[in-house]
Amino acid sequence: MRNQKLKRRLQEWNVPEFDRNARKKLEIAVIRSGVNVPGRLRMNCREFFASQMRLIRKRTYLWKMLLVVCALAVIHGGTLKEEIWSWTMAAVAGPLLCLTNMQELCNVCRRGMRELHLTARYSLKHVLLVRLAVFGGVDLALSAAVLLAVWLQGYEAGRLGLYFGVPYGLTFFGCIAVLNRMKEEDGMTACLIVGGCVAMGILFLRITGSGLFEEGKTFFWIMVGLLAAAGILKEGFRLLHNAGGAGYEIEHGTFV
Amino acid sequence: MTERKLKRGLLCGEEEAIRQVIEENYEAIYRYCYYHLGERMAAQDAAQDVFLKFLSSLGQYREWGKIKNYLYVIARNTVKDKRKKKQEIVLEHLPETGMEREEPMEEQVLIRLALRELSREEQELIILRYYQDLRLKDIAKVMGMPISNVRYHLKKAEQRLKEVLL
Repeated sequence: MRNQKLKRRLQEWNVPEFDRNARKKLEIAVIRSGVNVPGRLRMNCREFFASQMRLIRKRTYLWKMLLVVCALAVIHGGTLKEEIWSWTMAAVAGPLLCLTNMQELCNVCRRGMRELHLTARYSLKHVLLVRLAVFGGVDLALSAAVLLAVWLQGYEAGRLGLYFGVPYGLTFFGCIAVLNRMKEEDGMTACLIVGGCVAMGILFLRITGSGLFEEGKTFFWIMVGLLAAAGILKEGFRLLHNAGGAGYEIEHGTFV
Repeated sequence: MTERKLKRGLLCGEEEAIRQVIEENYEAIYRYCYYHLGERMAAQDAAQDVFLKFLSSLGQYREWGKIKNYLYVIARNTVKDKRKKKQEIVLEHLPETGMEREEPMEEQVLIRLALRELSREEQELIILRYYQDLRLKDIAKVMGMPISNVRYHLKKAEQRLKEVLL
């Protein structure tokens, strides 16, 4: 508690008004590069995003395009005579599309990257966020294009979307759970195993006649999808938290 | 702009953020410098130095809490440097270089003298607490001492000031 009497007495010492021009001059001097603000030498957020787009290997985009071209060729060529096989193909394509992203994410999460980020302006958390956003956006756009083509061919696009989206989500959940626990170079191998297991599992259930794609199983698919989404949220936050970064350090202190 | 966005903006070198920091804090820092140096021009110079140092050291600093506290830490060091230089000039008997001086009134002289009676640390505490209206927690951060020490020394300084001024 301040002593109010003492405060009043001390406040009798008046401070003369400062020269407003001096403040204005300071602002102008700083802004018109009178001072070498470190931030100005660095990339702003937009430039950082653009640079990250360039850093993602072209092979990743090529794999995605190849998958889409195959899907469109199958749809356009009318190779899928039975609807149930088109659904199986869609369910298997989900994990494959997801796996095309994983090499890039594995590279960021490897051991040794943590040391690198201490010297960088943008942290691994930012890099991860950009990559997740780019891959999410690209995959959404591509799958929407394929679903549109499917819908134009007269298939049930809604169910196809579900059969594609749930395995994709399930694979993604498995892969980021792996990334949170494995920081070695074989992280990608583990991700491939996860994706392979999901795809093979679906194929196995389809072949053994478990009625996976029957209309009555839609609720089951939705429930699995919701569980995968919850898992993605949990593991995703953990992944970003582990990535930490300069912004995180500013807010919560540094470990250096 | 929130504090968090402001920090991000500063790190990106955004003009808007720089302008906001200067506009929001210039007066407080100027007043702080004035209470220490007692001269308007010297206080303005010191305030300018504080902002220039702040903006050019952004990249190196890793653990900054509130922007205002960081500015006070820089201001504290700047004032110390200015005082040292002033002492050197006095020792060398150099003539005054046209620094503007205010003619303080009797009351103000009394307050200044009372403050001068305190140790440097106590003066700092009184200025931060009574003139700059900082919370004990923030004072502790600026001074780099535990909050219990701040409370103890502040009490002591208040007691001494009360004896002289009230």
